[in-house]
Amino acid sequence: MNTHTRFALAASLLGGLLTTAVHAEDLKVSNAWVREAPPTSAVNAAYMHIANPGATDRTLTGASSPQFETVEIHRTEIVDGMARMLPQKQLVVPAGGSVTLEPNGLHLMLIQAKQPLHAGDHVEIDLHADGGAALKIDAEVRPDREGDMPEGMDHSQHMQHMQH
Amino acid sequence: MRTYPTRYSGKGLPLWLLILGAGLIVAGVMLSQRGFFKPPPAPELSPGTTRLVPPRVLQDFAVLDHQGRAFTLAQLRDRWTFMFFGYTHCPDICPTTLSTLNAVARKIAALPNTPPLASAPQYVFVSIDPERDTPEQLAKFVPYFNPDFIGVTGTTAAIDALTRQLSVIYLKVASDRPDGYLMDHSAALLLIDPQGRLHALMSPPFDTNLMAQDFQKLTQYYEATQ
Repeated sequence: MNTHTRFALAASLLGGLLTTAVHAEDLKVSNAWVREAPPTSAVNAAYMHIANPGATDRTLTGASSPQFETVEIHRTEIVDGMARMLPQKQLVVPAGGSVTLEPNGLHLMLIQAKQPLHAGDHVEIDLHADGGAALKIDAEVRPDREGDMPEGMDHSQHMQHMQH
Repeated sequence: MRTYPTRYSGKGLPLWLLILGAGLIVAGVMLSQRGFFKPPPAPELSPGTTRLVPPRVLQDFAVLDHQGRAFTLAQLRDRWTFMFFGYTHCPDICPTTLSTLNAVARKIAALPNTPPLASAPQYVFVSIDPERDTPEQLAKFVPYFNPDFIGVTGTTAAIDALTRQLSVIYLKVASDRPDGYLMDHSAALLLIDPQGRLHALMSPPFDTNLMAQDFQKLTQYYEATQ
């Protein structure tokens, strides 16, 4: 092993360590799901919990999915008894904090499914984060059990660690 | 023939009748003190539920159900009705509320001591987007959440004839989106009584347990005061 090789090895090890350090600060998405809706529905919604263990705020600027024509970030708001949906240009996940996308609140609006979706199917979603990076997540299609489960009970404890 | 002397015979009332009378008076006083002869106290409802006093009488209207049959004021009589307003091109709140109603329907069906008329309310989803929501479109959407749920739609004028009397408002939000447009709409659930009157409304956030409890209290009170 010559000096050059040793240097390359050391550099790659160091690079690996640095990569690990960066990943430890990545967004963590858990409990990503899409409501099972009538197969003919023109629109649907995806929900998830996004945590930011890092020391800097992260901004989501949009989303896309190969299974839908368009994906938009929206927030349902009920003001004076009126429900409306407000498109969100961006979504900030604060440093050391998290945001929850949930029914009747923040959600990803999935527009025009290319194939009908059924419970058990998976939807691939790319979250576009600041800096142009995309976070690939996997959301399971499942029936909405809202009202059947105790408050705060997670449908799944499965964590997906986001990588650039 | 030997006769036995009868106490109080021929004078005033027999003792047993006096005792019975006194007992009835005492019972009557006790019952009236306990409010037996007064109407029962108004039901104590959760903060999200508002009872209309008096209920609002509705005029006839003519829309279509998701099977294309006429749905008029007659369909609201002799049963309790939960009514919700929304549209099928709605990704979040409408499917969420239909799922909530499905949970409420299961809880109401399982309630003990439900008055007969209240044991099987009907659940009606009224489209406030009649432009896109045909009966066929509703048939693909509403029964998916519960096969007993009914979707109704009609001409804009026919829908307005219903929504205006119920103080339900909606608004088309134009945009250049690929799926057309979004709708803003009243988020409340309405409860119609068996006389076809707007009886109560429930506002989000919805708690299915409280909704089922409030429904039970409202229907029991209704039965007790008819």
